[in-house]
Amino acid sequence: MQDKIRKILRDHGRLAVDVTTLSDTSDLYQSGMTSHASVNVMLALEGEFDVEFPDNMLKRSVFESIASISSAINQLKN
Amino acid sequence: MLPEFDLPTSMLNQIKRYFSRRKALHAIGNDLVFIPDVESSHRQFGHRYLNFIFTSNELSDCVQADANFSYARLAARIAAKESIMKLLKPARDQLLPWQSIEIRRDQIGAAYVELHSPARELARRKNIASVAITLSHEHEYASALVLATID
Repeated sequence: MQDKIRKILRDHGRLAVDVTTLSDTSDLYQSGMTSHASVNVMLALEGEFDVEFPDNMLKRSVFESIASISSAINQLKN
Repeated sequence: MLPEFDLPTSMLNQIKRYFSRRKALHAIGNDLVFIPDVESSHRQFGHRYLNFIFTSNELSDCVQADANFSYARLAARIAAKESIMKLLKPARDQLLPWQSIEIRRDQIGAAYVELHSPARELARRKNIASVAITLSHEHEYASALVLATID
């Protein structure tokens, strides 16, 4: 799952750094992801993992790191 | 009916000097958006993308005469929303839907901001009394500048 998330971040996150240099807990917003880019990341995640983020999960904290995104998707899948 | 006050001129002048020296507090925000990114996002994610970010009013304001969307206008509105988010500084666990910040145009085409819940409540908590906004776009970039007056 982490690999798929990293690929989505590489394709849609508009990060200022190479995603391979980020740890699972690196702050994605500090790494260059804008709020607009996070929308694209969210939509791509929904498509890739066949989930839908409910309104109460549309917060910066959910998309702030690879670990938090992974946790959110696991929560939605289960 | 207001009571009439008969204040000495010297006192009136002191009051005028006090208020003329008071400076209103302001906060500013701005953002720059690469217009092709918006077109790319629409082409890739379709109406899900548009409906997530924009209200129906905003989408109507961005339709051109040929019935296609103006990506420049959409990008300018994204820049405006991001600028206002920078002003509001939501906490990491604060819900702030894109549609709660709505960019409208008045009868002469000037942009203005309408905040809906929860953006409206967040602005109130930060004592933001009013927000002025200006949009621009040229070639591949759209930008917005916002100025908030703080009580």
